[in-house]
Amino acid sequence: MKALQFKRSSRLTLACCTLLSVGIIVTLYALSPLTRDIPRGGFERSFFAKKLTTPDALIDLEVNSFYIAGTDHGHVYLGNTTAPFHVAVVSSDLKDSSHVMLKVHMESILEPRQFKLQVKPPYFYLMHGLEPAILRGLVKNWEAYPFMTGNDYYFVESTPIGKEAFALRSYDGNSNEYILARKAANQLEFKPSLLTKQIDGIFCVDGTLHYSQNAKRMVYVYFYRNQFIVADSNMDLQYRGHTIDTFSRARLEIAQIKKSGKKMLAKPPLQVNGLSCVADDKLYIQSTVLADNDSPETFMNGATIDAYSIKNGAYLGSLHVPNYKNQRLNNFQVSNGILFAIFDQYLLTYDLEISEHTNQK
Amino acid sequence: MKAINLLDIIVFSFVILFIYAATNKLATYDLFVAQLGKSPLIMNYAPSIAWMIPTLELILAIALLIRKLLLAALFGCFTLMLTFTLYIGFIINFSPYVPCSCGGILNSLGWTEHMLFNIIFIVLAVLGIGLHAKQAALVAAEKFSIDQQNESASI
Repeated sequence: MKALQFKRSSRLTLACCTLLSVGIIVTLYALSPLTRDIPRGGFERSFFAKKLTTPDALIDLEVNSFYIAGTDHGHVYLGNTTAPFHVAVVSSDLKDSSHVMLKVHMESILEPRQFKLQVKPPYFYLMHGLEPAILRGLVKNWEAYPFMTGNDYYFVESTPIGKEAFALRSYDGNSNEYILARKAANQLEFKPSLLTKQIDGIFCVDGTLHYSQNAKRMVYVYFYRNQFIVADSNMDLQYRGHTIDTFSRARLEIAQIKKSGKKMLAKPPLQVNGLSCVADDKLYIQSTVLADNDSPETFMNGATIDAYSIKNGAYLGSLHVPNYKNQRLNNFQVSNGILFAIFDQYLLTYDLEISEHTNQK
Repeated sequence: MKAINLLDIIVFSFVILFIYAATNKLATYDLFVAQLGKSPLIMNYAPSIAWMIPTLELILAIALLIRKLLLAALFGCFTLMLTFTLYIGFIINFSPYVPCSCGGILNSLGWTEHMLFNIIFIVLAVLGIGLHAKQAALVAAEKFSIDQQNESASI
């Protein structure tokens, strides 16, 4: 007698059960957002002639917590999210790197990981929105001293404007909305008209602050609508620019948790603008919206970055940075025609060769 | 007799597994819903799936203990474990990111271990179905011989 007996009916039932299993997963997949098309924007991209296929240089940073804090002629400075006082100084050709520990002259610091580093030689800045604290030091000795006075300028994000002032994005307790502000030595000036509310004034206005020293312009890029704001160094509005996609309204679902009164996103939002940076007179924005002439495969396997003129908001062209070792782009900065890009623990450079061509447009 | 014992062990393992998994999920229901909400395959149905899965597990655990429903329950175990396994396989290989929503001790398993764990249980279910058939055949044979004895006695 055999050890096991499978009657014909048992085998048939097992087969049916298997089919049922497979059917469930296939149905779930077919109904899931994974099979939905990436949103197409109803616009076309024109790519720069230079295709970025292989990086010009590469350095393994060994940890994935580095971000680009600044650049100058010959260097890229990296801050570290988990070790906030650790700075890596890497030569532009990525051949040399050295590591520095910042000396921070401050009595007590709560949550030091809140510190965000920006390096704009000859100075570097450490900004902590919860203390609040803004420290400044010289790159030549890496010692940071408290710079901005006052204790009322809480912020979620900030960036230096020139050498004496800072653009802040703060939470306004009265309106429960985000507001932009300009912080200089002893004064804090709110600029309530810059951010325009569409839904809740918090999530719907979320974005990234930049300042271009060269163009003397502050730029704020919205995450969830096709807009960016350009203001001068006093943070007075110059114009509102539009990215090339057509998502003019933020599409978000916001849930209010009754117990804590907190607001949170109820579903993954439709983001249109991802990472961004400014370089001289150009604004670079990673777009998550597929153009009519984009190939979805290429689009998914890298970052598509659109370039705009800061002067007038004109679209200059696009570039595509492929993923590296299947890692997505975490951070990028353009400086002197070189694209510095961090993918997980790797820093890569690409020569863009676009600075001269696009300037003539 | 040995075969019947092995079947009992299989049934017992499934009952323990399902009761453990179901109570764990129900005890941390909010968390379970939130975790399912992140899974690209099921995020739209997270709240209903979050109570359907533990309910199904409890029903199967009870059915396994009822002799008449044993075979059907074993087929149910097979289907459920196979579905979990296919789901995990899909998430690991095709999802843009990997969320996790396994309860308790299973949470500390890596994805490969988890896969292996599931496959063992699928094999156990198939084994159980085979053993059940054999047991049924034995019972039938026994009954047949008893009937024959009775017949011969009556003659």
